[in-house]
Amino acid sequence: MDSCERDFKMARERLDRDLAITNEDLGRLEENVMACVRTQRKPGLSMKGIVGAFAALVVLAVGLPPALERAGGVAGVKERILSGIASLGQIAGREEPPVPQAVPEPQLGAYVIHDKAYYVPTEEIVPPEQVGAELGRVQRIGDWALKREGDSNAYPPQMNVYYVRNGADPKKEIVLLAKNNSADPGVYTVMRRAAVVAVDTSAILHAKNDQEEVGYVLENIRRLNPSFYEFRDVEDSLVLHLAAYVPDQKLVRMMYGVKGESGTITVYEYPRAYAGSSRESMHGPMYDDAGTAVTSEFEEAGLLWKRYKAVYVTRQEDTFYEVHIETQKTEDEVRRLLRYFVRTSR
Amino acid sequence: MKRDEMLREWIRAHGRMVIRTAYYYVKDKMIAEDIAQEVFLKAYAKIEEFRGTASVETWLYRITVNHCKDYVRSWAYRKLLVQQHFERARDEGDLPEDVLVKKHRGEELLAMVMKLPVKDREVILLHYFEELKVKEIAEILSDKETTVRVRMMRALKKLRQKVEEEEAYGLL
Repeated sequence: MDSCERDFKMARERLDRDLAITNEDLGRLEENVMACVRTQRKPGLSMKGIVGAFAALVVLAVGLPPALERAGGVAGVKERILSGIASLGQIAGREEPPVPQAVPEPQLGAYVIHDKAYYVPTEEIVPPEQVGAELGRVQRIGDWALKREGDSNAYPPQMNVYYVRNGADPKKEIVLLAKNNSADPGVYTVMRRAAVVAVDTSAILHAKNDQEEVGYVLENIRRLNPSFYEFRDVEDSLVLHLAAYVPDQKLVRMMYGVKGESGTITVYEYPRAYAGSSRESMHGPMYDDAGTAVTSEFEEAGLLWKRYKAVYVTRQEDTFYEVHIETQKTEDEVRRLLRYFVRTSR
Repeated sequence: MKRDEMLREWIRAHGRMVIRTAYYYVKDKMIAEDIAQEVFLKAYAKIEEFRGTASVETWLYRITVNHCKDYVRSWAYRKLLVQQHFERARDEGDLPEDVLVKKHRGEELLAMVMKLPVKDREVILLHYFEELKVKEIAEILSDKETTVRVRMMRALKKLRQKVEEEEAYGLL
C-alpha cells in the first residue's frame, strides 16, 4: 500500500468514526422503510384483488353446501380456506414485479449482439479445440436502444471475443471467450441465439453517446412535444451527446458537448406544473423563476431570458426552458448561442 | 424470498454503504439517513428494473448516487447550504485544542476531499473509500471508464494541489 492509499485509508477511518453509523441507526432505517412500505400498501387492494375476492365469495356461497360434504366437514373447509387465502396472497403478489434472486456469473439477462441477433449465455463451457474462426469482439458495453454488432450489456468491450463453434451453425450458437477483465483467462461459453434484434425507432426516448440514437430521440421529441425547443444550426460549436424525453410529464433533457472546450451545456424543458414537484424521473431542472437572484435579463431571438449565474431561463406560455452553461462561456457568447435556440416541434 | 424480506436483507447488508455514499454528497448524517430511506423505498418500488446485470450493491449505489444528485440540485439543499455557510462563519473561532485535533492527517485529507466539487469528490470517494473499481464506478455513474479515469486524475491533481498549498502554509 503506498502512502497515498494509506492516507485515504486513514481518511476513510476518520469518516467512519465521524459518521458512526450504528446498528441502532440501521434498525431505525429498517423500521422507517418498512413502515413506509406498509403505509404504501394500505390503499393497495387493487381492482383485480377486489374482483378476485368477490368472485371467491360468490363461489364460496354457491358451492359451500355440497362442497362441505365432499371436503370432510368444517375442519377440511377451514384448511382449504386458509390455503386459499395463502394462494390469494400469491395471486396478489403476481401484480408485483418478480423478486430478483442472487444471480451467478455470467449474469442473467446478459447478451452479445451478433448478426443482428441476441446471443445469450448457456451453462455450456467448451474446450479451445471446439473454437473456430473469430466472428467479432464486444465493441461497447451498455444498453442502447439501437443494437449494433458487438454490443453487450454485460461483457466488457475488446477483451470479449466471440467465435464460431466448430461443427455448429453460428445462426444457432456461437462461443464467447467470457472475461471479466484483461487478466482473466476467461472461459469459452456457448452463447445461444435468443432473438432477432427488433427496434422501434419511433419509441426511443432516451439516448446517450450514440449519434444515430440521439437523432431518433430528437425526431420523436419534435413529433411528440409541441413546445420543444433546441439548438439548431450550431453543428460548428455544439455536439448533442444526450437527449431524453419523459412524455407523461413533458420533460426534456439534452446535453451538448462544446467543441474546442471542456464542459457541457445542458438544456431542461418542463411544464410549469412540474416546477417544484417530484424530480425523480431524470436529473431534474433546478430553476423555476422563484426566489433566486436574477443577474441579468435580455432578449434573444424573440425569447426573454433571465440569467441566474450559470443558468439561463426563459418561459414560453406554460413551459420553462433552462440552459445550464457548464463551460467558461461569457454572457455575450451565451447570448450569441441562444439566438439558435428555436422551436422545432411539428 | 418475499419482497419484504429481501428489502430487509438489503437494508441490513447495504444500509451503511447507502448512508455513507449519501453522506459523500450531502455532508450531513441526518439528511444522508433520510436519503437512505428514500433509496430503499425507491429500490423496493423499482425492483423490476433490477435485471441482475449488475450486483444489488452496484444497483443500490446507482440509485443512491442519482437520488443524491437530484437532492443536491434541489431548493431545499441550497437553502441548507446557505444556512451551513452562516453556521460555519459563526463557528470560525475554534478553540486551540480543536485546532490541534484537526491537524490529524486523516481528518485533514477527509476535509479536503469533502471540499472538492461533487464531480471530483464522487470518483475519489467511490474509488478510495468504497474501494470500487473504475469499471464499477463507470457503471454507477453511467459514464465511460475513460471518463471516470480522467475525472479521477483531475480530482487527484486538485487534491494534490490543495495538500501542497496547505503544507506551504504550514497547516499540515
